[in-house]
Amino acid sequence: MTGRAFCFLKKIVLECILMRKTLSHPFVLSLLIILGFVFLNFQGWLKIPQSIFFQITAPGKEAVYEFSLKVNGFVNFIFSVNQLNQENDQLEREKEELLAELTYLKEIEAENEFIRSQIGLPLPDQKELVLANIIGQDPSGLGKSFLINKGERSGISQKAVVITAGNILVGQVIEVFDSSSRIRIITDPASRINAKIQQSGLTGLIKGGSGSNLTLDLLPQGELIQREEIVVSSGLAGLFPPGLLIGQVQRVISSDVGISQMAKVKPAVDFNSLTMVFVIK
Amino acid sequence: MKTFFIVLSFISAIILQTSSIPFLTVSKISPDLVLVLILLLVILKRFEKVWWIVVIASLLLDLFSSLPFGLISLSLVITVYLIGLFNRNMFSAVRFWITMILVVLATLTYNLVLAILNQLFILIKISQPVSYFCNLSLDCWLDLMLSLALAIIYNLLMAAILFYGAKKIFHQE
Repeated sequence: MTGRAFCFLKKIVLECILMRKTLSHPFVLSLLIILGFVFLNFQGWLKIPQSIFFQITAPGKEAVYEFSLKVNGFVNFIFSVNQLNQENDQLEREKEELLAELTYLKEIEAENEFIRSQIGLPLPDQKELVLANIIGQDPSGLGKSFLINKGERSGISQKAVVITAGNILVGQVIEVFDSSSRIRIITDPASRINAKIQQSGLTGLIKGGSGSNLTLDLLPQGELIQREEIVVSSGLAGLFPPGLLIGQVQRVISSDVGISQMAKVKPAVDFNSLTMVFVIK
Repeated sequence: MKTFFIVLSFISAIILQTSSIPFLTVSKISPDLVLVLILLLVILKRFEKVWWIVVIASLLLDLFSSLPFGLISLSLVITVYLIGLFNRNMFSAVRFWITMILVVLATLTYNLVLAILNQLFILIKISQPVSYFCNLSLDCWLDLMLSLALAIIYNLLMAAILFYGAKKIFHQE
């Protein structure tokens, strides 16, 4: 009886030693520590240390980011010096066209304001914008996001919409820290925006993906969609305000067997040269 | 002093990875400076001696990413441990060409582990059901293969630039 008990005890002690050895192995220990942090993050307990860490590293990151942007701009300039003349001519033509369009739109705006005042309709609300600098990008290359230097203290809240000059949609706030926020850009695989083609009014769903282009899905079958048509947010679902510029149609993918058609959309924002954004409060 | 240099080089690498490296993106792919640096550290010093640096660096990288928290760190730790183990059992010395082979293997392993863990995270509902990798279409697979090839070339280039400097700083006495 005592012999059997001794054997049992010995077995337990040996198993404990083996388990201790396994647990103290650096690889197992590393995995356990990371899983511990995953648990803490899942509970939301990493928010404060994360916020402090972003605050400490923000000035350094901002300086490096701006420097990199300048170097990138300079390198791009060197490589595109041959195309500059051609590009300049094209931009001049576009400028003239846009100027004519702007004059026409100003006339319509004045007319609109006059009619609104005549029938007693209030003018649309002016959005309150917060200007923010980009201080870092997603390191993985898979998720597409960046950090800005404004957070809760500046009144930024989760799901706030982020735009750039010209009412161009950039993305949405997905995480807010004390003095910084994480923005998911529209090309991220998790991004979904209700959109419409401005000319025809056809509505669909803009999705991000692994590439730099967007997919406009769920477009009604049989409708004619042309290249370079403008895609804007439709305002459906209420997450994004209507009329924000998203991009231009590049290619239409349609098949006879599908119930809807798709279009590849080139984003209007050049994410590689973006330094500042506006967050709609 | 050496530990100080190692920690400093990792902090610089993380800052560069999140601010400058995205500008080097060619057809969606940018070099993975932190992966290359951690790999060089493990090859030159053994995982058992530097595991805490690997864990801290990968967790910091996770903080900057919008991917589900832990995905990058788990993938990095698993990858460098496996590659370190393979290196110890297959090769006896640290040579340039051996390191280049290990960089190729590490890039492939890292992406594979990342894809598997991404699916696992979705399965256990830690993350949203967003696949950052391919569906089953042929186009997507071809695109993935091309991206992997580009990532390997980029990481090889990065490792070739960093190898001798890292050997000086990281190599054990």
